[in-house]
Order: sequence, then structure tokens, then C-alpha cells
Amino acid sequence: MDIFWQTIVYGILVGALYGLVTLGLGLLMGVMKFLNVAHGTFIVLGGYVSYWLFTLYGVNPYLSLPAVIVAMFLAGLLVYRVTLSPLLNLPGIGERMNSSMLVTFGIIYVVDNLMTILWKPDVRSIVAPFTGTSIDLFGSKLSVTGLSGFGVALIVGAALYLVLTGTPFGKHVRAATQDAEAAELCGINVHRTYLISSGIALALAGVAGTVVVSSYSISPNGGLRWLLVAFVVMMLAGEGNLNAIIPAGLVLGLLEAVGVLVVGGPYRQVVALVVFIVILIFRPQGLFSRRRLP
Amino acid sequence: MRLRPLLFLIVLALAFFVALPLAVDLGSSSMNLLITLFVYVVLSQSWNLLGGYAGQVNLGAAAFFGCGVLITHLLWKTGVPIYLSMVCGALCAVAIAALIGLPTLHLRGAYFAIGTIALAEALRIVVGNVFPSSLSLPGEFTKGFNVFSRYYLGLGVAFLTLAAIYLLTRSRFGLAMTCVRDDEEAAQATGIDTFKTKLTALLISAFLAGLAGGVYAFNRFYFHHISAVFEPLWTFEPLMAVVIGGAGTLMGPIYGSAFLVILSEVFAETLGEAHLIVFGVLLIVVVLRSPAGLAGWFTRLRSVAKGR
Amino acid sequence: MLEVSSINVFYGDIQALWDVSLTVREGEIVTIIGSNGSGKSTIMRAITGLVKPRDGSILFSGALLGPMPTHRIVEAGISMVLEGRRLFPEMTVLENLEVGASTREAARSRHSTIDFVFGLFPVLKERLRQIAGTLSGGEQQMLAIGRALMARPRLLLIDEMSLGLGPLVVDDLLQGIRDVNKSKNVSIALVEQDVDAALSIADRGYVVEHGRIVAEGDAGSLQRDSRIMEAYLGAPAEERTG
Repeated sequence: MDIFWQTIVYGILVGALYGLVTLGLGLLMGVMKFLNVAHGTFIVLGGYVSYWLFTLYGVNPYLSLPAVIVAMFLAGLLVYRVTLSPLLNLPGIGERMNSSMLVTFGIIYVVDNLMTILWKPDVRSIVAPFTGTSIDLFGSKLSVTGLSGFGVALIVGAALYLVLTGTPFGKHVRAATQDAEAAELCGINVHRTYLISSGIALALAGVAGTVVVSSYSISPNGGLRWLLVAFVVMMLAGEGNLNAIIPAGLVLGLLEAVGVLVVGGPYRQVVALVVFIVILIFRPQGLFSRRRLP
Repeated sequence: MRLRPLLFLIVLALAFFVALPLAVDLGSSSMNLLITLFVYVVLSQSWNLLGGYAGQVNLGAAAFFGCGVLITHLLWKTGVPIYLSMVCGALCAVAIAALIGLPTLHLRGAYFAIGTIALAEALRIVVGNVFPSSLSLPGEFTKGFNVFSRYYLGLGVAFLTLAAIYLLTRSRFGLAMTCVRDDEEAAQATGIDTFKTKLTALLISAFLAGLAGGVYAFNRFYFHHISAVFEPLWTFEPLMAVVIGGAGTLMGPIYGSAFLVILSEVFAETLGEAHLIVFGVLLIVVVLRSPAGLAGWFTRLRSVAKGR
Repeated sequence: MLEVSSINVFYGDIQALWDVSLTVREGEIVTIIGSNGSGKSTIMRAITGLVKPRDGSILFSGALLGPMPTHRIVEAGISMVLEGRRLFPEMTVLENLEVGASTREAARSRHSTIDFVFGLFPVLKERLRQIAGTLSGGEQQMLAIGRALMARPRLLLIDEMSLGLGPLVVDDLLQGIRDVNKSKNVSIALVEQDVDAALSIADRGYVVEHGRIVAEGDAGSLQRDSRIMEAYLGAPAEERTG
């Protein structure tokens, strides 16, 4: 029974991280209908920023979050300006989607290899005083890094929710997501909304990367693993359904934790793939969406 | 190009490549380079069929290639003749293609792309766990090694692929594919079974990619980590070759493969790892600025030359 | 106030509008009628910048609209109700209206504007927290018009208001439009397939066919023009009742 609870707890902690990892991808997909396959790469990049701040200047990863956010936000603006905004001139949604996949696929190769050259292919992780310690709660061990990751995920998720529902910018984002032309006709500068959303999306990836490098590890080619997690969570949440992303992450975390008990650790990603396929067959609009898929 | 001149050129090219190693002593490294070129031509043509003609972006083509390599190697090792092993490898690729195609192709393109990435990565991990140590051919195989047979097999597969693509794209099926690519809703409205069209393109594409894997397996004794053939690089390179060469054309993947192989050789000396960065930048620039790729450029040059 | 001069509009290589010119004067209600696919909507989209003309010019109170992006054009005082309403389906009535007031000027006076909209279409006030996608067709159209009004336009464009709506609802909407025009001196350009409804409130009208303006004049003379009435209503003017 102990193992069972441990598994559940672990699944929840990891699940929250999975949700955090997905937020940036979901935002870009929902707002601009672009699929950013380089999302995993940006998570790793954010992790590196945090790693170097810790290794060179001794900054605690959770304290370096503001710097990571700013750096990745700026990176997001750059990526939008240079590679994404030209795609908005394409006529069809299908063409835009395909082109966004191809362009961001190219970005993977540029950034991953830049990181490999700059920082070598070694696996990095932040080993801070609190790494490896854990708290005993209700008979289960909760790792401190897992708990802090959980906390960050919830805080960031809540912050994003508040921004989207409470601020004028958030309303612009939601309007542009639901009908970009109508939004423009309300006087919203949709291009600028897209620009800032790209910044936020990459900043979210950066925050996820910081948690990843503190709780796990990163390497220049390690983005793919997180991209896949984000894909599955995004699917579970349903397209454009940003509020469901953290809950969907929890679902995946739990399913994975239980699945790994059955098939063993190395096959963790196969569990995710199976979940993906099963959901696609039976409920392609996601678990949390009320809509039917066309 | 119209039929006669094109056919003539193809026959000429075939004769050239058939005669080349007989007439000139190329040396094994040049032969290997050409074999690599043949593999890339088949692989990129397969990606182009699905991506350039049918409009479905496959970000996990490495899964089909890798399947072909692995199954061909394993079967061949145990005594199955190479041709049969290759076909089995290709059929295996078709099977996993169906596994991911059936649930995703009746949804929007993003789901298929995501599914293919997930498939390739899952396979890479599973294969890496099932075969963690190196795989190699037994001694008898290395003794009978003959680079000429590999060359001609690769050449044969490449030309068969070209012929198949040529026929497919000029058939009704080819028309259906481009209709689905250009406007799936409209295609459906005209009575085309878009799901079946996409699935067929996927399965053929997977078969060809699997064959490419077979040629590759035929050419190698030793795999340090067999899971490496499932790595995203084996998706990136044919994808890049197609986009830069010109998606949706017959010659595009050929231009792109040649470009890729030549540049890789050139850069391997000077840039090493960094050559992938150059390729990535090229891919982005081509998608954003000249989506018609090299093929489009050549077409425009021809029009200018003709004075239009 | 609004001067469209000889615009040619293309969708890719296909020409949709040929040498189209029209004007809307201050305080006027102008209607653009024509059958499906004649290019009426394209004229609206060109005015609001959703599609840019290849030649010709569009002047609004002396300012050239050509180089402006759509949200600037909205800031300048033109608002549009899109064909098919195009509400934000997952937002409430209130949220839709609030988003309508996204320009700085509109945001400042949104409280008084929203009161005005409620006065115009009281049912919206009753359904404030309801999700827009769940409203009836007529209510959705009212919300769409209300949302466009939140931007405090001086010129309001309405594309195919009556599509799919019953005559009583259309009458309500027409009344609302008349009120807006009279009480706030907002000029209106109405694209309509329902020629009767359109000409009943319009001061002047333009007839569009295959991307060209084929007739124009004040509402009365258009109504009396038997050729037009036959073409769009299928019966000569004298035989029509009411």
C-alpha cells in the first residue's frame, strides 16, 4: 500500500511539472495556431540560463527565475519577429500550421547544435543544498525539488490564469485566440498580441526549464523528451483549453506513474505514447473539452 | 518537363551510374558516398510523397527508416536473403505507419506530426533498451563483402523509387494527393476519400523509407547503438533535402539530396558539428523566403532563359 | 466622410472588385445591395483594411486608410459587424461587449457606451453572464452590433445582418440601427441581401453586381426602379404589396 501512495504522490508532483512544461506550447498553439516543435529546445535553453547563473554566480535556481523569465521573454520576441510573423501572411490555416512545424523544426537544429557547441553535450543538473532531500508527509517521501516544482507550477499556472482572465491584455489574447479578425475589428493590435504572447510562451518554457534542471537534468539534445510530454498533455487538455493544462498534466503524471509500475522505468515514454494513441482514438478533443472535434 | 526528354534523361542518368564504377576506379569511399546519396534520394523521395504531394508533415520519418534498418539487419544476419530481408523491413515500417496513421490522419495535420515524433522517439527508446549493446554481422558476411553489389542494389532501389514516384504522382492518386494538400475540405467535397488518400500516401512513404533503411543495413557491418538509426537526424536530413530541393516536385528531393551530401562532405572538414546549424538556418530561410526551393529556382531560371 | 475611389481588389490573382467608388456622408444610412458573391462584403473588408486594394484610395475624414492596419482604422472611427456575427464564442455577453471597447478612447467611456447599448437592446442586459455561443440568432446579432458600437464609431459597417433571422427580429434590429443613426449621428453602411429591409431605412443605396457598381441613387428611386426590383425580388414594382 505504501508503494501505491508513494506512486500517487510522485505522479502528482511530476504531473504538475508536466503541466508547467506544457503551458508555453499550449499558449502558442491556442493563440496563433502554430505548432512550436522547438518548445523542448527552449525549455532546455531556459534550463541552461538557470544552470549557468547557479554554477557561475551561485544563484539559487528559484531566485534566478526572474532573470530566466526576462531572458526567455526577449528570446520569444526575437523568435516571433524573425521566424513566426512571416508565416502569418500565408493564406490557409493548414499551410500556416505546416510551415510553423517546418520552421520550428529548423530552429531545433540551430539552437540544439549551438548549445552543444557552446556548452558541450554533457548532461547538466543543478545540485543545490536542497537537492536529494525530502520531506516525510503522510508516510510518503516528497522530494524537496519535486515539491518546489509543484509549487512553481501551481503559482505560474494561477498567474497565467489571472493574466488571461483579469487583465486587458489577457482579454486581447483570448479574443485573438477565438477569432483573430473579429479581435482586430475591436481595435486590438493582434500582431502585437501575438508578439507578446510569443515572449510569454518562451518565458514559460524557461521557467519549466529551470525546474527541470533542478529536479532532473538537461542536455542539449534533451528537449525532445519534454516536447513529447507537452504534446500529450496538450492533447489531454484539449486544443486551446489553457485552463485545463495543469489538471491534464496531473492526469498524465498519475497515468505514467502507475504505468511505470507495470512496465518499468525505461519504458516511461512508451506509456505516454500509448496514452496519446488511446486518447486520440476515443476522445480526440481531450478529456476536459466540451467541444466535439470536426 | 515533357515525357520524352525526361525519359531520355533518366535513361541517360541510369546508364551513367551503371557504367560509372565499371569504367572508373572510384575507390570505396567514393562508392560509399554514392551509396549514401542513393539512400538519401530514396528517403527524401519518400518524405516528399507524403509531405510535398499529400501535404502531411512527417516529423518522425526516422521511425520507418530505423525499422527498415533493424529488421533487415536482424533477418539478414540469420540467413534470410538480403532482398527478402529488405522487403520485410519495409513491410514492418508500413505496419508501424498504420499504427500511427489510423488514429491521427482523420484529424488535423498537427496531430499526425505529433504522433510521428512520439512514435519515432518511443521506438528509439524501446529499441535502445532491447538492444543496448552493439550489433554486428557474423564473420562470413564480412568476408563476402563486395561494395559493387551494394552500389548496384542502392542504385536499383533508387531508380525503382523514382519510377514509382513518377507513376504515382502522375496518376489519379497523385491528383487526389495534391487536392488534399491544397484544400482538404474542397477535396472532400469533390468526393475524394481524403483519409484513404492520406493513409495510402503514408503507407507507401513508409515502405520506401523502410527500403532505404534496408539499403543502409546492407552497407554496414557494425552498429554501435542500433537505436541511433531512430534518431531525429534521420528525419531532419531528408526533410531538409526536400524543402531545400523543392517539395512537391520530382526533381526537388534529388537536388536536395545531392546538395545535402555534397555540403556535408565539404563542411565535415571545416565546421564539424556546426554544419547542422547551417542546415537549420537554410531550412528556415527556404521555408520563409522561397518555399519552392531549388526546383522553383531552376524553373524560374528556365523561364528567364526562354525569355518569358 | 467616407470616400472610396476606384478601388480594385484582388484575392490572389482573382479580381473581386473592379473600379468601385462610393461615398457615405455624415449622418447617412447607405445600403449596398446585390446578390451572393457580388463583392459586397469585399467592399466592407477593403474599407476596414482586412484586404488591401491594389489601386484606388479610401479616404475617411480626409485620412488615407490604405496604409493603416485594421486596428488603427477602428481607432480612427470605423467599426464593422462581420458577416456571420463572429462573436467570441467562449466569452460571455459582457466580455464580448467589453472587448469591443479595446481602443483607448473607447475604453475610457465604456460605461456610458454600454448603457447606451443596453438601452438599444435591453435583452443583452438580461443575458449579461451568458456565454455568447448559447444565444439565439437574433440576440447574437444584437450583441454583434452592440460590440461594434462599443468602439464608439463614427461610421458603422454591417455585413448581412438579416441572414437567418425572422422578419420580426430584423425589424427590431432595423429600429435599433435607426436609433443609433439618429441619436448618435453615426453613419451606417449596410450590406444586405434583404433588399426590402435595407431600402426601408436607407437614405441612399448602391447596387453591386460581379464586383462592379451598376446602379446608385437615393432609396426611393431605387425602390421605384423596376429592373432592380425584378432582379432582386423577382416581381415588378407595381405588383408588390406593402
